[in-house]
Amino acid sequence: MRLYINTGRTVVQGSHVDNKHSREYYLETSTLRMNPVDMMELGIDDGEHVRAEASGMGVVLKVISDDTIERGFGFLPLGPYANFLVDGGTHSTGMPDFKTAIVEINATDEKIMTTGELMRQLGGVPYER
Amino acid sequence: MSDKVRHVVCPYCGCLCDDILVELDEGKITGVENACTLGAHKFLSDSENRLKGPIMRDGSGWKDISYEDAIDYVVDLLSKADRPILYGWSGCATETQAIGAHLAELIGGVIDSTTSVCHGPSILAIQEVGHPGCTLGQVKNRADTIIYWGSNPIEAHPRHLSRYTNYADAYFFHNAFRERQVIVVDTRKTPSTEIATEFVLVKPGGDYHVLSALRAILRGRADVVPDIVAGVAKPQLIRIVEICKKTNFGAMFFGVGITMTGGKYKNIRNAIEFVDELNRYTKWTISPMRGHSNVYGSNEVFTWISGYPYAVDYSRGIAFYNPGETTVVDILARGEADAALIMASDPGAHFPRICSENLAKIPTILFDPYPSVTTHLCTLQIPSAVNGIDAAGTAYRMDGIPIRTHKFLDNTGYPTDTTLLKQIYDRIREAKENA
Repeated sequence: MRLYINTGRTVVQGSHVDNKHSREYYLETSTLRMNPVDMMELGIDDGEHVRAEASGMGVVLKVISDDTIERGFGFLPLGPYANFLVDGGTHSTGMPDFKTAIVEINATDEKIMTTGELMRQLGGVPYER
Repeated sequence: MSDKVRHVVCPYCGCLCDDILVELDEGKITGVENACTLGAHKFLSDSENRLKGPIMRDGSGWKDISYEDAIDYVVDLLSKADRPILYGWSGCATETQAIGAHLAELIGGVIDSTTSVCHGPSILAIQEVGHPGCTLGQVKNRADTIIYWGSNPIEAHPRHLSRYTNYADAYFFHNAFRERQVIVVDTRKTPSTEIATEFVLVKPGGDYHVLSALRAILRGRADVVPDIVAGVAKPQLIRIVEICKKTNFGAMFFGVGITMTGGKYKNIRNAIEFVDELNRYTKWTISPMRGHSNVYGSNEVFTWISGYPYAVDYSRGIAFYNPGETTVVDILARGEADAALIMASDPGAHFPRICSENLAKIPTILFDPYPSVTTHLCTLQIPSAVNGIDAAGTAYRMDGIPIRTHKFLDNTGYPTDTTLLKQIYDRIREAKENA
């Protein structure tokens, strides 16, 4: 299923920006809110996982239903999971398309990576102390 | 010994609330009054979140190093780099930002702030058509109609409504809350849309169309506007124009909901021109909802020093500015940078994937009091004192008012980033002069 992903600040995300290794930040920024009808089409329930892919790279997310979100759209609080799906192009403005990432969503049983594991995929070395 | 410190300035967002009361016990923050959830977390979790000292990548792990060794590494790296980027700055005091701008010139680097991924497009629009803005004090005391467009203040700037708009007392109103109205325009329902007297639900990507329709109606050409514009019914558009025209003093605030979406700076230009045209009928102003505590300051400081507000490239020996080319996202996406100095920001969490990937390939120094997502990508992280907690400095509120933050914790043992950056600047300058 193809979705347009919107991102933005949430209170939980914003409250933990100085504690990004916390469980709260990890859970909040890796949880995708989707329209319940879209979830039904995908065959997933609240709390189950999906793999979101863009430009050949994917990230596993938890999904919760949100009937304020229109079909074909999703909301993912801003953070490393959302930006993993964002292309680097800026249309010569300096500003990427943060709020309109087009992603392919499929149900999965895979686990959600921590932010350290996610950055390891990009060549980083997780700091877990 | 317990103590209470009054009039503390919150260093979280661009509201820079200056009425915070902090309770201390034995030099630890034990209570916070007046702050929003975001600010309270900042103060209350500060000590437990801080990195204890500099850390350096060591093969597949990390090792502790001294501040002296860390500074030696930074001086050596920045002196030798061909295309260094100096990014972040929005959580730093203006004093630090000024040293950063001079350092960029000294080493022929690019200096850019988080502006480029928040209100960079707003600045581009302001450069095209100007900024009919005002201070938040004017809005608080005079505005009877407030528009939040592409902005969710309840979650992103929680006290904006209570200090400056809907819930704030006003000098010129008997009962401000009853006499004000709030219009919220967004592509989704948010906690902020719940408090709106008028909520306009726009289809994603449709802001430019809706603004153009409002301008057409305002100019008396409702006949050219279709029945529905980007999901908004024409009668609602007409009603909004009427509300705006009948207003005594209107204030529009816009967020990254319209700077990041299709059209980018053209959306903001359209919004400014709508406000410009409204001023033919009554008084209206427009201002961006700036995010970081001192992101506005970075634009001021870089402009004083280089002539440009962000994305300043000194590689030619002179200041060169071309957002889209000299913005750090573009430089990283092109794989152009060979060293990075990241000041109090987190591109690992907030940049597109390709940028993080390329940041991990180059030596990256991170100045941040707390471990972040960029920590996993950097080569060296240096924690420094936090501006507004154990360091004092100047920060610019979102409406351009400079506010002095206070240092109320002593003896935390952390040097300020101003001191560390000055050392780095002086040593590189001395080496260049002696070369």
